[in-house]
Amino acid sequence: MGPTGPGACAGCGETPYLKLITQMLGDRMIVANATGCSSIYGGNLPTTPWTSNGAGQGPAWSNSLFEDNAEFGLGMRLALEARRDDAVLLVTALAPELGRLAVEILDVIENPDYSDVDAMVTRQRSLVVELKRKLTGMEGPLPRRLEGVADSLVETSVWIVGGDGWAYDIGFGGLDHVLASGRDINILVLDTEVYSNTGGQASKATPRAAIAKFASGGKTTGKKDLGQIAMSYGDVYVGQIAMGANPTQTVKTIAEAEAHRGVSLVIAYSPCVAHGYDMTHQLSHQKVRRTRDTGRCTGTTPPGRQRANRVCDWTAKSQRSHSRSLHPPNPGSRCWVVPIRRVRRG
Amino acid sequence: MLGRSDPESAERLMQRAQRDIDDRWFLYEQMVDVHRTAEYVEVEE
Repeated sequence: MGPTGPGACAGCGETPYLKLITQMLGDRMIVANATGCSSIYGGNLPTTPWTSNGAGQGPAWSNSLFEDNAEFGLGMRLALEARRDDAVLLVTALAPELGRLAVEILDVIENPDYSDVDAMVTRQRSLVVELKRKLTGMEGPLPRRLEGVADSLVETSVWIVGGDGWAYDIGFGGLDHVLASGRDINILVLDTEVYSNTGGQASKATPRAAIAKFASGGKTTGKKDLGQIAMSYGDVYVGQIAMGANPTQTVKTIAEAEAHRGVSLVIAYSPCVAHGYDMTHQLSHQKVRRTRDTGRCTGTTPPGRQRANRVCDWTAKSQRSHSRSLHPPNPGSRCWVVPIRRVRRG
Repeated sequence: MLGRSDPESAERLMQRAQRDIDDRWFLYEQMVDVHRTAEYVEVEE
């Protein structure tokens, strides 16, 4: 399947992010998808940008409404935590029968090694396989209950996905609730800057002067800075990405967001047919020459709660002399000032 | 489109849009310049 994926418009800027994210994390991710373009092409089986690995492992996915998707995803996280807590209690209760296996499982749960999540998940999976094998030979209600929740002993990555109409407008109340929750949740906003699925109506993500439906004379108010709002909580990881402008930063930001053990918000600039230009060039279109013409910074707040109270670790000062570069001025830089395009629409 | 139907309005909006962009850019630059004097201390939960 191509990076765009059937079901979406040709040249859709959203689907490459979803394909990428499942390639990176799909074997252990659960997705709450807001209604909109992504719920249409994402749920339009058998063609979908969501992928699975060689072992057939892929994301679990479900769709909810515009107005409650963030809460829907938060509920998934809470349910996973409750099931894991139940599993831990049952493993503890059955420890005399399980012996060494119980000790190993509890050790992995209580002392997770986030420096190598893939290795940790692989170990958790092998322990769960061994646990299930052992449980089949055990009698009584507790082993049966543990069989039902054993899979929750494996680390899961919860992602709440939707467009700007969901995140900036209709679902914002719930999104804000999740941002303030402090839970280990990741939010991906596929920002096309208009309501794409209904034909390109202006949203709060639409920049000033852009022509859109309900803004045929040019939008008179500016684009809401969702990242700034999220940063005000102090413990939220915030990243802005644009795959066409900087694919390396795109991968890095998604990896950092997933690694952050709290709320993460990734705002992904997504070209859309509603923008009215030739989508054949949508990736290269994001690479304009002058960064200051765009007003966008695809940077991130520092990951990890231990640094959460710092405002930002951006190094835009040193970027001034590199304003024509698409690459960070030095490898240690935490900010990529990525040009997307000059606001010229309509 | 708007540039053809109402060029004055289009130009005015574009100038304001560019000012939005510049303002946001400068805000980000100012944030980079913020240096906290109090170091963050890890607290046991």
